[in-house]
Amino acid sequence: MLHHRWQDAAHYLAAYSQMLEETTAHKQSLACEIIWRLGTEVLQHHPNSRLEDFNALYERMKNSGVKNYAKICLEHSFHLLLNGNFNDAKRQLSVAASWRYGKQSASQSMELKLIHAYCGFLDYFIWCTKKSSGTSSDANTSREMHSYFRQASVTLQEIITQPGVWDPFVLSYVDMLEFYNDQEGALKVLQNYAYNKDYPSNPNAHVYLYQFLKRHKAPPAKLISTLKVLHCLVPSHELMLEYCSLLLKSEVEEDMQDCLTIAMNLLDYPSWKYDLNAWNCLLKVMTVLKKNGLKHLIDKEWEKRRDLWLTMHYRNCHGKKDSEENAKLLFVKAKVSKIFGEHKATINSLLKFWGFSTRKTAKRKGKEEKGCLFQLMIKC
Amino acid sequence: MSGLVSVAGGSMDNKFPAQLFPHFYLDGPPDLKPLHLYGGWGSYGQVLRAISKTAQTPWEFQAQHVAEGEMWVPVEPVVTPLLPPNAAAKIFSGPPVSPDDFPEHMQHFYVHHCKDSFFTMGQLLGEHFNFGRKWCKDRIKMGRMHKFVDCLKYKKCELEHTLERVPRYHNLLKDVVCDIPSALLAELLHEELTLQKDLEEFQPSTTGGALGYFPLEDFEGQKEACLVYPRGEALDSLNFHRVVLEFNDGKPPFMNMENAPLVFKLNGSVRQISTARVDDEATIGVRLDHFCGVWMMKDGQRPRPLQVIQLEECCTSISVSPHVRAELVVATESGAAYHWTVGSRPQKFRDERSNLYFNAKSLWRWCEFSAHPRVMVFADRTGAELTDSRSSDCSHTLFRIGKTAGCKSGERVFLAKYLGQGHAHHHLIATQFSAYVMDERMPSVPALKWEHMMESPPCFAQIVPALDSKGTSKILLGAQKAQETMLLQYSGGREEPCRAHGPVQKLCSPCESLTIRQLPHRQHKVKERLAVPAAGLAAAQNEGFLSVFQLTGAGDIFCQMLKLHSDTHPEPSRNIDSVESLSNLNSQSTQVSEGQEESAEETKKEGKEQEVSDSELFSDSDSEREQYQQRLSQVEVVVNDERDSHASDAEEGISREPSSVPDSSMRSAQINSARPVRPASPETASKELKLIWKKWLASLLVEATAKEHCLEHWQLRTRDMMRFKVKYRDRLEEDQFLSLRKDLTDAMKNRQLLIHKGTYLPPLEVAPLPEAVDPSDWPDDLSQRLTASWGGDWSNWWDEKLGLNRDTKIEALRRKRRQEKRAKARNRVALSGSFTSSVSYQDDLSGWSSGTSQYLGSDGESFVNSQSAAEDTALSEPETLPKSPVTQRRPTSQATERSSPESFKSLRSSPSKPQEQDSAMVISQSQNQEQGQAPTVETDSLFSSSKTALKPSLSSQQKPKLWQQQDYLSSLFGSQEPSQDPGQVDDGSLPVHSAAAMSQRLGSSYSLRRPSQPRASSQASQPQRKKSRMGF
Repeated sequence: MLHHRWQDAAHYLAAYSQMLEETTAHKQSLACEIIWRLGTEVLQHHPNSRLEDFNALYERMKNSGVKNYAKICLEHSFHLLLNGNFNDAKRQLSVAASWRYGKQSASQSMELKLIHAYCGFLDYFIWCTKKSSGTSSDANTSREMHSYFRQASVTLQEIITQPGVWDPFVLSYVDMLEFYNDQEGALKVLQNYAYNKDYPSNPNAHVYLYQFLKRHKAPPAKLISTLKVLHCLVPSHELMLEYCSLLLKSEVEEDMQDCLTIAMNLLDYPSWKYDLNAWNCLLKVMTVLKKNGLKHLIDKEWEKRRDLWLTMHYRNCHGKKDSEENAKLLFVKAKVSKIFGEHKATINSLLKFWGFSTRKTAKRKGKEEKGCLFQLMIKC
Repeated sequence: MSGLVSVAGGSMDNKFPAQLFPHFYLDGPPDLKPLHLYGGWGSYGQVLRAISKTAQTPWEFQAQHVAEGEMWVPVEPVVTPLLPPNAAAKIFSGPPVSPDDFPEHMQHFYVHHCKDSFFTMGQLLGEHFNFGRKWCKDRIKMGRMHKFVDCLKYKKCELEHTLERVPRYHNLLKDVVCDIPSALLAELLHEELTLQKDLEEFQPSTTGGALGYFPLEDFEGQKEACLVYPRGEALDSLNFHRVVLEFNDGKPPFMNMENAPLVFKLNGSVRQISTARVDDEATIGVRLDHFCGVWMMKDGQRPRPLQVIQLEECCTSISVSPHVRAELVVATESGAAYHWTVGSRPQKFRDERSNLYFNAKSLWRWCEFSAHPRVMVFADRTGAELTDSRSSDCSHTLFRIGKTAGCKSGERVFLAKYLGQGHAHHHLIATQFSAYVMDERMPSVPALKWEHMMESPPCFAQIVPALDSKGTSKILLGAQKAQETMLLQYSGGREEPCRAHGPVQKLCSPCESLTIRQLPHRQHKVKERLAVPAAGLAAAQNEGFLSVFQLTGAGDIFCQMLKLHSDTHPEPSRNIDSVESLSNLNSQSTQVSEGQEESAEETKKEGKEQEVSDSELFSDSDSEREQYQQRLSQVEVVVNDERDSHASDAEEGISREPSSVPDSSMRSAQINSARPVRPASPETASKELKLIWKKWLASLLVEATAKEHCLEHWQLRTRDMMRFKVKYRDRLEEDQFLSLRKDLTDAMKNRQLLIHKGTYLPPLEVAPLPEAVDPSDWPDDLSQRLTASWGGDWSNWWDEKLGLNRDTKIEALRRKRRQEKRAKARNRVALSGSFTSSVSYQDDLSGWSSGTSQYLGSDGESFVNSQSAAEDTALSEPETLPKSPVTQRRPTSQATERSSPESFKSLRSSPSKPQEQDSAMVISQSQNQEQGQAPTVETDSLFSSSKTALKPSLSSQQKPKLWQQQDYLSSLFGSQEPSQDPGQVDDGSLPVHSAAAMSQRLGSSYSLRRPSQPRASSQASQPQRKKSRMGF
């Protein structure tokens, strides 16, 4: 199977099914799991496999080894879901949710929790369909919707209290709460999801909270505090650009300083290296700072990063590359370096290529860039 | 190219997936038990709603594990050697090191490194000993000891050459004379050997792999790349090899290795090579045990060494920054991690004396870069942390062995790798069970998890970035011990969460790629060579082809190509080819193996034929042919003419066992078009590859034979012993000898026999045949048995000996005798009626005897027929009668011989009471006993008389007679067993019948003394005469 020779594998697997006759309980349950896993994989790569075959396999393996019941149920419903059998999957899940088997089910508590959660998740989808299809006046549909909402909310609430990554569940739960105008409840859920120490630091949790706050027109201070936490976790997040623009609006000196740090932190990441927006943002922040007479802040930040930035952003080859690929970027970078006061070192190195680049790009891109470059030259 | 990828991916890499798959976050140590290795299959992981752009479709879901991935199908079923075998490689073959072998190691140390082991004490004691011939005052003369010490260096019989003084000196000086006390040395050695044994299983120091590959800037339209690999005896010379990639439409790129590599000799084994291309320069970091070095290579320039650092502690990891040029990070066993910018002193940014999360008792530390150029990953066996090198105490967990990641108990981190090429924020953490992709923006929770199902822990990894946004990134995992290489595919991490694509795929490994049909000792050598643990892994992607390079510990580099099948309908041409060619190839290979057994000439011819076919193979285009020739020459070491002979028998059968897979999968492909069918991987290697392997093996074997040397033995000087002169052969003899040699070669060429007649050699002496062994001379049981088995019916003999076939025989004989009787009865005219009472008895006897006669042979038959009545008693012998060729030859004489012992026996046996008799016979038995006493005396007389009468005729046959007698006796007195002789049964019933019958028996014995008389029946019918005989 590792060599993807499915046909051969199927033959061997057919022979291996004899292992189910094994009398040792341990070996039997092991064989059961192996057959389930391998069998599913082989079926998935069988050119003519049908849903019935899958169903038969899942059903049989489910009941021959009780130890994996919950897991196989879950996989079975996943398979149905992925193949578009939404209703069957829902039925599978609800059957599995009511499964009890003494100790066996207790040991599979995690899977059972997930089963419940997915059950609620699917309830949410039913709720969604009802929401979009049913006319609002119809009292019957709204009652139905409400019952689904209750079902879903109970199970989703349950899983959300468990530490973990529950992005889809949280989103659907919040969506339902918002629909029923329970803003506070939703906010509580999101805040818990974002700030609870027991949960892993999930950037999405903060993003959801931020988006929620933004949707509901929360004051900028709240937004900023949300993004501040996010910045601590993921300094390279996309929202940092928004964060900068928010901070710039506040016009407090500390915020300005933070803003500069954030923008520069962003550009510390090589993944933002060639991003024009990020550079523009930095340039904007710096010009604002310079206007406000806070040049010392810029120098302070620059000192920290000088070595890194000179090798990472301002080498000859970068100038060459930028001039060939993205002249605007070169323009912004040059401006930034000028503010840093490194124009002698960096611009000279860039100038080396300008003769080369202006000729080349002028032919290609027209006069605009050419003018731009000359403008820059004059400025420098 | 890499720049483009990073630009395209770079902006996207900042996006974080809007939704992640659900995942539990749990504290605590792992509690799952590793049960089996098959966890990677048949599971979807988790699902969530796909963000579908078309809102019409009701609900679409996507799973974490997708069954379908990109189809990478190997072009050849086996790996291809890329370079000639590493000539200087030393493989430590043989049984694994046992810690209990330390005395041998010590002995070796004392004998072969005496300078090291005895130098100090030797200096001190030296002045008191004199090894010269001269006698000096105050010095002990050690002249003879010199010889002894010389002898020590050779392998020799241990009992020889012990000088008397040696043990004395040994006793006197053994504690003093060693520089290192032997007890201490032994202890340390044992410890070291134990460690070595562990290292044989897994070598943490080679983690990361000592193979580097990076593309160079296109130069004059040629795509070039650089392969960095170690070679030499202990992988201690670093080679920079410029590879020119040549592309043909639809064919895997050809690696032109024509350029000579640039070699740097290093001061130790290369453990790891880390390469990264930043902007326009490639940085190559090389790790040795205590040294780290940096080379830089600009496009179109030679690599130049920049800086070397020496570390006190053993260095465990080196990693080149993919973001900033000439920056490295180095970790050591002590737990220190250094950030090293070339041109300045390495800065220690972390010093972790203990393991990170729990005590794993491991010194292995690992450092990698992360998405931020100043934040490093610091990993050990328990997990990995992100450490900011700018501040001393800023670090947070990236990954830890625990419940959250779903680890199994006993799971340990074996490799951490920054997957910057695939995604700026992704890291690979590999344990012995699983591989995790971690997103550093969302630490602690794995973005993706595979169970890689490898037998040994992975310690090399390579990332091959996706070609476009829809493609999958490929991760290659490599293991040392079994040379396993796994291909994993995943996508996402940007707008969508990470998803694994397709099941884990295992690639070919050098050790399993060949089934070499070779002479056993060669095969062993090649197997050994190919099975050396892997030492490195590299990969490159070129236009739909994935080249995977593997380095083994012996310094050999192998390459395999995988082709991307993107379309749903695979092109079946290759499959058909392989099926068709399968039979041809098989038949060809069998021919070859037959040819091997024939003559050298034959194989040479075949080799020529094969080469002819090779040239035909490439008749379509010259360039291909050239390429192919290059490929051939690339793997071949320039060797002398000896090569040919080796090449001819180094025929390998690369064809794997044929299977029906290609055929059936093709059929199914025709039936169904809904699900893309994976094109079957080729079952047989192409001819080019076979020839490449052939050349490679040839050069390997040539080296091996060249290197092979006998163990040194101590040589005795024989000059003094061999005093006589060697005579010169005269001229004529010399000529004869030469002509003979010529004849011999001619005969071999023409494949004829060289007959003695055709030569001028002196006539051969006719050796006399040894005298034929007469089996009758060897009367003992064993010899008889041997004789019987020589004659071919040993089993019969044995049956007879045990009496197993008695009943059937009796039955058969009776039947026959009855028939004969009936036939005879017709002939008998007058006398038949007078013996009515004895007829039944006669019948019994006759049945038995005729059976014996039948068994005696056909020429005995006529005799028996002619005088059957006389023979009745004579031949009714116990089964112990030997069935020897002698008896077959002379039935007549035998019959005469046996008459006397038979008569003796028949009388003698009556007192010995047979136990098998029916209860009805009990009464008769007593009579039997009474009667039996009387005849004994008579028998003796009879016996003696018969003896005298027979004397002239028997003189030549005295011996057989003797043993026959003995045999009878033994059979008689040893016959108290249940298996009774039929003769005795008959004897038991003898007294019941009239005395006439008795006399008849005796008379018959008499009659046999005159075999010339044809009318035996008439004799049997003359009781009077017999009675008189008895009286005599």
